Amino acid sequence: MKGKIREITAISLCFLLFVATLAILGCGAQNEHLAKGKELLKSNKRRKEERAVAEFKLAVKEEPDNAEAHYLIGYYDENATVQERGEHLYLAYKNDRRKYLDVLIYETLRVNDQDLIQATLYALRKAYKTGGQKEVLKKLLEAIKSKDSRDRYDAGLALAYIGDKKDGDPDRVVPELIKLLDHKRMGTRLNAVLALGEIGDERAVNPIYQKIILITDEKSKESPEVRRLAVEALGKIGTKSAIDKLVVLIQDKGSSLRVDAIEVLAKIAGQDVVPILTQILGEKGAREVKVKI
Amino acid sequence: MRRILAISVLVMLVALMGCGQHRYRDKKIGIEVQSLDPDLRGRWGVEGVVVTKVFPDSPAQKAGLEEGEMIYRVSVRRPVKGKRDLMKNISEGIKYERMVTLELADGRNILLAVRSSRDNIGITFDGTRVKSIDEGSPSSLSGLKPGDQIKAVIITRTIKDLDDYKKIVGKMVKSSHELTFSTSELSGVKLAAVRALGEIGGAEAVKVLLQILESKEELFREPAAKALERLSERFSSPDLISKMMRHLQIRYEPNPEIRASCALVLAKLKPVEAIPTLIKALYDPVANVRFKAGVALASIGTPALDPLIEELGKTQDPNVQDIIASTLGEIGTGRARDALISAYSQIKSSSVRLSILNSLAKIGDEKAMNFLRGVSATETDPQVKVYLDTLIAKAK
Repeated sequence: MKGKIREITAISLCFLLFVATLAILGCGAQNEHLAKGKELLKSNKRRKEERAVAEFKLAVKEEPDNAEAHYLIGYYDENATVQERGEHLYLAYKNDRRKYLDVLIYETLRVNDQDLIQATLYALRKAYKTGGQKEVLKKLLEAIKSKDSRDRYDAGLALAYIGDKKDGDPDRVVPELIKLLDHKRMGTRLNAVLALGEIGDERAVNPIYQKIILITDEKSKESPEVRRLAVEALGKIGTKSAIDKLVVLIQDKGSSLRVDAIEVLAKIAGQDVVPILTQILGEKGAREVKVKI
Repeated sequence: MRRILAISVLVMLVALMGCGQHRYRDKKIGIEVQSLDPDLRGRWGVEGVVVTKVFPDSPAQKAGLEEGEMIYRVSVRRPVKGKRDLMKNISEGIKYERMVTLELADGRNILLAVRSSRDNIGITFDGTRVKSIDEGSPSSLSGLKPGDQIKAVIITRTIKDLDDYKKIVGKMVKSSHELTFSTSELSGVKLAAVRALGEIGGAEAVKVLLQILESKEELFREPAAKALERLSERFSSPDLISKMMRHLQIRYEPNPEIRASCALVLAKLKPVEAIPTLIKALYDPVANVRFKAGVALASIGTPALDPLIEELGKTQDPNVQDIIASTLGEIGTGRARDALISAYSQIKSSSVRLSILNSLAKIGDEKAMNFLRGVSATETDPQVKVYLDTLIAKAK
């Protein structure tokens, strides 16, 4: 009996080993071009990226839903347009959403290559628009609250892109960014302000002014950097109500942001602010005033 | 128990009222003051409080204090009757600010300053009269002399924030009927406003900037001229031209940077009537102004040709000859070329002669090039010959 059990165990182990070997070999066979392309990237060969991309394209031809091959094309194909690269990055996400959403947000956006960053933003917006709205937004809102400053910056960039007034979804993104103006982390508030400025949506004017710029008894502290960026954001939004807020700011003689507000207004305002600037020039200079009680 | 509760509530109320309060209404002075934006200290180095309201018929309004002014210091004048009074006030002033001002019977004000509030001032008094001053003491450098009679002590205190205001002014008001507030301004704000006017432009902005230029506000006159320089690309008016012509002249405008800016404005506006003034500016003692006047004349172009040729014939000043030669090269007509060729033999300065050759190469027509080749053939100075050959080669 014992011998029989031993025999069965040995057969089972052999079978498992056989299946595992097959799986490993099988995978390799399925992605021959992908493996070759990846090997090329590791090598010191001339034009290795270009040759690797050719292999990745063959891999995609053979296996159109190969997420990794799509990702690598989007990443390395410098001869392609931003949109073409963005499409491949999107297909990587589409075929392996769990893995590539993180990769796009936390890795690809970090690369010091403007075309690749733009392609990634394109891919994220397409992912958002084609059914991934909830998960993309959730992930980006997580990233903008991250402890890592680069994650926060990249997420802010992506949220601004996704919330773009013309091609994006400001109705959903702007309120989320406004909520972040109260976030405890300064870097999160800062990137939310930057993103709101980039989107340029009128709804952000009051919250930016009330939550960041205004100093009150209740809120007496905000980082000077965030406040300065908030003034610039109002300038970028540039609507009448944003200009009105900037005018209020330059008339507040106790504010440290007067110079910033004037500089921003100089770029966007018209003749109607000339009397306000003239009024500033007429303000009393340093002097001594004797008060008899 | 009830008593403890009542005290606790009172303490909490006081704390709530005191902490984080942003504004304070000073009924005795008749103003409302507000804390400065916390960044002001870090970014602009400004401390104090800002006046947000001046109440009608209040002492502040009668004194002319205005809304928006920033108070950063307050002084109180305390007349002294005897030695004890005098010593008490001097000690008080030195305790907080390490300095005090003594008002003397002869009308002088003497500032008494020490390094540390514990330093001995080194004066002995006989009543309110100075009896002796210790050699090497802080007072020995103050200008005070034995025999000086002290009439009053002026104590000055710095106000950094709203709490300081409440504490210091509140105390001073109790002991005196007259306070002097020192106010400061952020000149950066006005400078930004001047620059902004230059960006925005238009008739109203020009009017304001010209007013600043005509004023005595030295800090803002130069930025106003620079702002006019920027907006003159988009705006012109007879008033602007005439003011620029006026401020280009050294007898009206001592600041060479402003004169240079005026020349640049004229270079952009190209007014023919400015030619005589610009020609005069070629004699300006500052090279930058001369150069910019030349730029303006070149920009006006052909109408400036005759006056420039006439001036080249008259002047013996190599600096002026040099700029005229360059300007004629910039204008570059046949008449400019002929004037340059004829001036070449009459001018002795080698640097001006090189400028003439340079301008002729710039004009580059056949007659100019033949002249350059002729000069090259007869030139004995090897360096000039190399320079000429380079010019000829470049012109080809």
